[in-house]
Amino acid sequence: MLSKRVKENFISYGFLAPFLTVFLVFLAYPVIYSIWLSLHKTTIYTSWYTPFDSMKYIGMGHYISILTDVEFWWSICLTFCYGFMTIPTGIMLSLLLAIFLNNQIKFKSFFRSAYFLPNVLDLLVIGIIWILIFSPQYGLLEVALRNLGFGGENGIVFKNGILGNPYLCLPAIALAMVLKGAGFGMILFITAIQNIPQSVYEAADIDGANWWHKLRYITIPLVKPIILFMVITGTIACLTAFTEIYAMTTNTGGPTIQVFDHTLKSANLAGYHLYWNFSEGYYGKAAAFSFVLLGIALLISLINMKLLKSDK
Amino acid sequence: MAGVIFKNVYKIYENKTMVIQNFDLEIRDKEFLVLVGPSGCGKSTTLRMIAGLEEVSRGDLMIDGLRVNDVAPKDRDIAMVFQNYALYPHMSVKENMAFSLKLRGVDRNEIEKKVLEVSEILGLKDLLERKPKQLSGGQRQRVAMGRAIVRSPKVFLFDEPLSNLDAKLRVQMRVEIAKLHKLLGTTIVYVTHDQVEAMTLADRIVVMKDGFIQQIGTPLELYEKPANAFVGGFIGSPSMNQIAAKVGTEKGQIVLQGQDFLVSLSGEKAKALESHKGEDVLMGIRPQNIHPQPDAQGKVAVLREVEVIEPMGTESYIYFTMSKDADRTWVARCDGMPQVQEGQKAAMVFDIDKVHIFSKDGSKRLA
Repeated sequence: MLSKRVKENFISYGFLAPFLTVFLVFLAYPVIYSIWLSLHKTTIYTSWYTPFDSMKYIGMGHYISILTDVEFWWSICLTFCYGFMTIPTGIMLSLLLAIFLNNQIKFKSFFRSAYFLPNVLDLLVIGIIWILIFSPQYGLLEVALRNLGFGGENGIVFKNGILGNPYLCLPAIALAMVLKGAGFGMILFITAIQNIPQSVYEAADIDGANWWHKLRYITIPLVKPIILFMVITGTIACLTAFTEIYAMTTNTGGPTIQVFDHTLKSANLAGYHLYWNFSEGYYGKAAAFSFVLLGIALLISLINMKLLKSDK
Repeated sequence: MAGVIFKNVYKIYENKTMVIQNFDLEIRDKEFLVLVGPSGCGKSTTLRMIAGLEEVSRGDLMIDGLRVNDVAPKDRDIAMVFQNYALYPHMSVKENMAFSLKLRGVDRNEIEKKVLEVSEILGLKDLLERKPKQLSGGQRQRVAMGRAIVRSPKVFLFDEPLSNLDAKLRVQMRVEIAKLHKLLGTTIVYVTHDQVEAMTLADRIVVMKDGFIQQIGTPLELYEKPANAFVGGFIGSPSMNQIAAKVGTEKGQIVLQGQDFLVSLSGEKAKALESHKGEDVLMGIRPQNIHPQPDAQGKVAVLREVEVIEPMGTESYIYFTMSKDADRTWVARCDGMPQVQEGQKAAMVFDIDKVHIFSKDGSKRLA
């Protein structure tokens, strides 16, 4: 006869079983396996049909190799640049849209839906749309700028297109991603702003605050939890950015650029570099790379939380 | 310090709803004026018009002799305490109190001095570093007052400031507000729907209904000589008992004849009703002017069954049905415990000279 406690535990685990099964199979096992993988290397004996068999244990070899790899540091450097281009701009644009669309204006619901719409599109689709906008000769932007008289002697504004220019490729991708993500941030900010009691703004009016004071001293501090959330999710999105690079550079990592003695890809973000390692068959190195990125993401999130510590 | 004057002020919303109509009022310098009335009567709108948070649709609003219809709230030199306190949740008590001074570019040392001074008056000195969420309701209320006081404005506006507090704290804060008014000697405009607050705090009370002023007067004037049946019913707790009656004569005396009662009047009341003989009127009598007794002992009384007795300790409320056509149960008040019991037929003795007579529709006081 089972005791009552054992019976209750049994029932509880029964209810938890569906989740635990999915968790163990699709999360716990891959994480543990990738740790194992990061400590091993493919060898000449490794079969491409069973690539994870007959790998050789190399300890921290991959981690050391990554940390001494120029391409790794370049990808991290680019990721940081990408982060600085997308996160503050995205937050500012979202906040501005939220403030604008929180007012009593005509077609408010239409604008809210329109700005949010890109979020329901797949990144690959968005990438293709922006390729069409940025493409050389007949791209929408090229044609528009040419008609506005920005073309050079031969009438061409961007010789190889914006995405073909190593200095403009990453900012162009960043612009596309900021515009894509602004609608989501806008919804979060609208919700947060609507939670601020109107009487707080009225008290500020009486206290002598103008619109800038109200934004600076009331709205921004009170939406700080949303800013923190957007900084953390934005950081993670930058560190794992892959699809947008894959789509908009047509799986090249962007045009090459000469940095000191090295020829490097101008849009080779960390997430894309990880994918590239994996696709080239460097499974162990790619796994180690993912853990390095995890460490960086945790570190940055910790710093963000300290800096943007909310009192709410 | 300054007075506030409303000259034929109207407030009409975009959907043509008229919430304030033909509003004429002069609030004197250093006066504690209470706007009182039921929900939706326009009292908060009136206060918000003084604050500049609502536009004046028509008429003139003057503060300290200056027309302020088009002056922004920040330039009116007023301070307001909101019903929900409206404290800045992310700022400490000190920052909340200092915010307006900071925006006005007051010197940092001066701000510090002012905040300390006010926090001492309000007993907030030990709470200066706390955030609003770490404070009790009463403390938040004090911070809201501190934020208003620190600026030394011309007029203080209070919008139902005690309605979020429990009954005990409300009494305590009421006393503190009264003390504060004495200490600061400023003009205060105070909105409440609680007539007890109005009676205890005000120098003068303005009773409002449906956007119109019903009566302006001192608490005692309003209590003793209500201008109409609404004011009579609104001021005083428990509220005035009212019933329809007809002015008639019996044996040469002026009487009030109800469906199943008859009371005769004498003196000034009878004289005032001479010209209203044969008219339908509304009779009102306050609960403390009805004395339930086992027998009438020759006084003016009606015999009614005691339905419920509510003993409150120092006083008791005795409920009974005055008449089948009375719109609610009547209540009498007596000190201590009553001499009658529930279910007993008692003589309800009226202080007939304390009866209030209004016109049939209740719009006018007759006697």
